[in-house]
Amino acid sequence: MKPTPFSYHCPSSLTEALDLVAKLENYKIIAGGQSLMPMLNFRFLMPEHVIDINKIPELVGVSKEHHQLRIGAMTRQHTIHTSPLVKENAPLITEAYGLVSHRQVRNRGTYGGSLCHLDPSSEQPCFTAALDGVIEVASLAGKREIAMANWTTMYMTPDLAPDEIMLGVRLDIWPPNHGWSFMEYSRRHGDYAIVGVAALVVIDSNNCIEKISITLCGIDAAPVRLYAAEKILIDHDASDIAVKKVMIEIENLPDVMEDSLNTADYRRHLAKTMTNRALKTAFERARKRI
Amino acid sequence: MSLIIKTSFKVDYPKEIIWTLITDIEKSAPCFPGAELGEKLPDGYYKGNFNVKLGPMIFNFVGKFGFIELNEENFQAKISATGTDAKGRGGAQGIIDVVLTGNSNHTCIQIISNISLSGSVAQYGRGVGMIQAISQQLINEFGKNLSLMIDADSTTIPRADNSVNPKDEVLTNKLSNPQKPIYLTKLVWQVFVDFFIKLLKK
Amino acid sequence: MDQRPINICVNGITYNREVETRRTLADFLRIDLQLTGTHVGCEHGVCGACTVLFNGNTARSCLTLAIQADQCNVTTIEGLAYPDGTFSELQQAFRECHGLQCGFCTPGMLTTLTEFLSENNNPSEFQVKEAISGNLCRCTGYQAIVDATMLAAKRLREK
Repeated sequence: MKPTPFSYHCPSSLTEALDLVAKLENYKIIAGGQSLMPMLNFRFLMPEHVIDINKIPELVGVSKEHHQLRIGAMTRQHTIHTSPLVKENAPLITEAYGLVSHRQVRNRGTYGGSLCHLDPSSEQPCFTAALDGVIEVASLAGKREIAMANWTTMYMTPDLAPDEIMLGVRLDIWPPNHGWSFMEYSRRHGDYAIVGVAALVVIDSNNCIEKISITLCGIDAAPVRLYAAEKILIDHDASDIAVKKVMIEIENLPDVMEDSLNTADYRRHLAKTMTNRALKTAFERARKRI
Repeated sequence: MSLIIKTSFKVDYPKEIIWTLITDIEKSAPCFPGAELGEKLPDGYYKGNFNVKLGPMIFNFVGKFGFIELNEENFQAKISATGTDAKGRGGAQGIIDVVLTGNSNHTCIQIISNISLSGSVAQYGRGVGMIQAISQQLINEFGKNLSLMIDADSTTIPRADNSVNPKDEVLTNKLSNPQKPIYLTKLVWQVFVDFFIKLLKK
Repeated sequence: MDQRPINICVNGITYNREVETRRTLADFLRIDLQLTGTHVGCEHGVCGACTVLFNGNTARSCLTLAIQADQCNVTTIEGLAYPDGTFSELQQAFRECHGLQCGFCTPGMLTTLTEFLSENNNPSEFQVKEAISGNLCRCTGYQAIVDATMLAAKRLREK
């Protein structure tokens, strides 16, 4: 239950860090360490090098740029959770962090770390997909951007080359009158979601849906955005009938994760239940803000 | 943890040619990224290594495999494979059934793998669905490489659809450094589970 | 073996040591500094027994490398009492309400709740339960811990 020996590197600038990831093989980056350290302690991972990026200031920060929120990769989850800027512009994120693990983990864990670890049950990739996040990465060769929809190449594997480091994410800010809800089902508070849902909606004064985003986690390797359901609901009444249509889409989801504890059918059932509740909550919140 | 993984792929060659190629381990093994063929053992099995990346974990499986049944008349084969992670994170055993069907133009290769996982790797695997998806990706890559190999190998074997042969350098790139596991392409990031695949190599 | 110098302030005292880079903060505190109040329960971040205050914020010391605490301030259970040795309000309340039995989870509970009460001095029971959801206790059934916290909060408000 102790890590195997490794060489430790602690770059103090982004360039130094990029240099290291370009030349080292068999390394792991340590950000918050909340996912990496258990794997090191269990010896699931035995890297030769550990690169600590906690001393690189340009990777930290929450800012608003035009109609987007920009969050630096090394921003602590607790910082984002308690950020007034985030609460005002993307209350979905604030609500999601209330469900992410426990305070001790959020104090150290980082947004970027979660997105790079990419656990299918994780809340952070889910809200990132819901808000059409764009991920910025850098290497010595320059910068690159990847839409969240394309970030997951495979189970727990992001589109991040070995010589690249994630810089941050830009997220769309929804209109001030939008409704939101992040809900998940887990056996204990703070556990990874078995299934979670992020819902965002804008409703006009006639109770018509102008804009909608519905994303599920715990279903597949990547967060599942219900694009088909969203399309159907544009200009639809924000009603129980709308919700029922989404239920049909969920029922017909083709590839649902399965493991010894939770079958695919159970996950579909949870997805429907949680989405039902989340949509109704999002509708209510939107109506209050018209 | 026990799994049954069903995968399949198609190639545009008659099944007789595919059968000959697949049952010739020294020829078909290079088509698997991350795999290394070792020596042939006195009992007819082959030693093999397989490097594969599953999420953040890199596994190096060491083991042996071999054909335990070859039914050329019906184009059916059965393979037995076992391996353990060189770093002690678990192991796997499998019985893999391979069936070729098709006509003079195309072959469909169906693979049913009965796998049991043990140790950390089973814990980490997290779900049949994920492994199924990854295995299918792996098999697809195997199929593509098989086709490319046949195309580049001999101009006397006509492709079923008479299309132009792919360039040799594509084949070389694909098949070079077969034991270098990760980072080359996302296709290399496959799970080890299907042992027929993982233990074959040049 | 990769060893580095570390300069760390623990409970107000500065230490200069050499550590292997793979040593966790929990092991460093317990083994190198002989501060065995911080307990190691699971070593993978789920039990909370190893919780310390790292630059004022709770952190799981089993998931922190000691080298990462270089130039940092750490407060452990040994540093929660007042300088003259008097128990903090929280520690006193734990004693009075039997908020501990075997005491294994207690250091983690106390550091976690110390942070919690410093931010919320008038919590509801629900909020206390949420605050300790990252700390496992096998003895008390948690209610005594919650009672102790509510009592401590009351006393802190009255102070």
